[in-house]
Amino acid sequence: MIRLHGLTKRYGEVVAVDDVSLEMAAAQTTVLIGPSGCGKSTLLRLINGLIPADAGTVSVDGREITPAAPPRLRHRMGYVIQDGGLFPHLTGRGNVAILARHLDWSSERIRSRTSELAELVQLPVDRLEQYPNELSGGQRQRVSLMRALMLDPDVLLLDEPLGALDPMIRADLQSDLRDIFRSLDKTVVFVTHDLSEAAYVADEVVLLRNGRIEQSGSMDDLLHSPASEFARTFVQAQRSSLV
Amino acid sequence: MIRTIALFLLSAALFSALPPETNARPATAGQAASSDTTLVVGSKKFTENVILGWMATQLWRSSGFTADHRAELGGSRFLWEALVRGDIDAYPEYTGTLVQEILSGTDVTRSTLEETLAEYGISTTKPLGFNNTYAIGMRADHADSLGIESISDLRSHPDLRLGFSNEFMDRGDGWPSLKAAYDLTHEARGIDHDLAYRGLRAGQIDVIDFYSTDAEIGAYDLRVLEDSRNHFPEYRALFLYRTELDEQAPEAVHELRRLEGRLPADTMQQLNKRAKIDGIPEQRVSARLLNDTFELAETVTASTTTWVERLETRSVEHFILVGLSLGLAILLGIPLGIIAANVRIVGPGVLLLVGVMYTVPALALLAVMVPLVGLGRTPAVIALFLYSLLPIVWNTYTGLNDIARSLRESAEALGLTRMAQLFRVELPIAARSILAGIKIAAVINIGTATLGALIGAGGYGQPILTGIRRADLGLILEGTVPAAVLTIIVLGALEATERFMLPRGLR
Repeated sequence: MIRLHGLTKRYGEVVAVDDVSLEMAAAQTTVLIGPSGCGKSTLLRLINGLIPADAGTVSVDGREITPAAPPRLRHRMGYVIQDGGLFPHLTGRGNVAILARHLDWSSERIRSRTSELAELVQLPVDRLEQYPNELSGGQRQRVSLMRALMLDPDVLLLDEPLGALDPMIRADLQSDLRDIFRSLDKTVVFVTHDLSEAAYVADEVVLLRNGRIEQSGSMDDLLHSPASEFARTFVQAQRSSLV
Repeated sequence: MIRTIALFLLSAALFSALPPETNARPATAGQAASSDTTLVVGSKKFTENVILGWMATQLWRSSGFTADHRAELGGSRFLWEALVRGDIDAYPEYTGTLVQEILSGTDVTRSTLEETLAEYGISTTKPLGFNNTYAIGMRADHADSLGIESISDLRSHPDLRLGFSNEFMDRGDGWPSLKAAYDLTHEARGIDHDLAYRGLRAGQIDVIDFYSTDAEIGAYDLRVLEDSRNHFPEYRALFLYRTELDEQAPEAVHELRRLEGRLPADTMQQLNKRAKIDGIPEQRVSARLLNDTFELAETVTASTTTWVERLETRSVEHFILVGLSLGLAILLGIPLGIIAANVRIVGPGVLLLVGVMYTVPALALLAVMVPLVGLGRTPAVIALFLYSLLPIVWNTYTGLNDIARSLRESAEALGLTRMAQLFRVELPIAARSILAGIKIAAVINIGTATLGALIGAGGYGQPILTGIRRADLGLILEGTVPAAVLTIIVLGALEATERFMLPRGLR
């Protein structure tokens, strides 16, 4: 379980995250949604301690997370970003294995875990020998997901993982992602600005505006009983794209 | 500045562990003195001084000493500092240079010279004979056509082009005071002394400075303009030596003194001519004079080397200079670049410091180094190391700084330790930029290393120096061509390393 308490982050005069308190249940997929600049990505980066909070706390399974937290706490959280963040000097396989190598896993263990994950994310094994610039956008995101899952973390954080993909690949990966989240039983935090994407993967939805929580609850609640004028407008604007 | 000094000291400490670079010869039988010390003679980078240096060296060798000659060092200052430090034991100097230049900070006069030298632990022989004073002159036919005989005649020809050696342009008794003494209005430009003769013959300049024993005076039919106002002081040649030799090797001092009064001006001019105009190596010019006119315990032979042997020696010297300094620069430059990219307060300081270091002219850097660490390989390697730092530090910094933030954060978010982030992600991605920096450093280093010859470090600069001095294109090529070949080989090796090391994903 992830617990945020009074979390605040400022960039100069701008308050990116404003006194947010929230609990994200274990083994559930929570979607952080909102227009750009609402603070959803900042919130995600606070959760894995990439940036320090100005006030408030983040705890994951009872342990507080800050930039100074020991690296091993991060091993319990996988992180996937929009362009994949793959390292250009390593093959797909090298990217997937980088942390396991650092932790001195045996090459046999690395190999079998990699094969397992390739099957999970539906990536042909031969693609793993390619470098990132030789892979398609969708393949890169699958490799990135494998890298995030390598140590079998309890928490998976995804920051607009489908944002840079074209529609066909996006639809494919979207349904694969949902299947993966359901089969893995992990605490997933998924950032997007796209309501249909949220509806597809979410157990819980948190709508953010100017760094504050506008509404949180089930997708049905958001769609059918928006809690504010902003929520209504946000839903209305994207409703046509919902299936 | 503290960092600079620390680097100096560190490098000095590293190199003090190196074996001394003496090509010590086995001592001959019938020792005149204890043979466990090698005596070292120094000489300046002009022919006459090189010949005199060889004379001392050969006299010492013929009387049983082990003696080395560090020929063609870059200037009077270097030799003086080296003598005071004890890097060399003796070198030929001129009274005028001592009074006007080297001891100009003291109130020394010609008559108190010996006492002043004694304060530095230096003694002197009596003058060797000739007075090699400065003179200025022009082509005799040119002088005749204008009716010029003395320096004061120059006043009525203000459009003449004057080209003086850089030393003459600067020194206390040189051009500035000559100009004042004779009320001259000409503008003069600085030019290398050996190039000046060529400029004069080609008609590019009209008036040059030279020394009164220069071989070219007779050989090229030059007119020495009369110094009617006795402006130029005396430049009597003599040997300076470390006073401690009087006790440690009295026989060596005795040998030096055998040269006193034995070299009148016409003899010296002849010797200069044989070396400079006839192209006979100084070593042989000196050996012949000694064998012909001195009673020697043992005949002096000049060792002759083929160009292949010289190339081999010079290549080894040059390669050691480049290899050590570049290796050190890589070992220290990459960590400094990492610090510059990661430590906020120190970073800009490091970048600025290596930048400023690079703007110090090579000669000035060498000049600073000689009093600190002496002559030879050590100061040259330190100077080259300092020059090689800039491209390596800056390219490491730039390579690390150019890594996209998303990649840095991905590495951090994975839970890699800071060290693992650096070694598994950041340095490999910056490798291309770092290698480019190393290539630039290598090219700069190989070229600049030729200056090492000025402070006795040898290398390809040695034949270049000698070649310029003797106007011998063959010798100049003996230095420049191998330097170019070495550059190509080193760049090729680095290119191959890059192909081998850089993964497909970074190309």
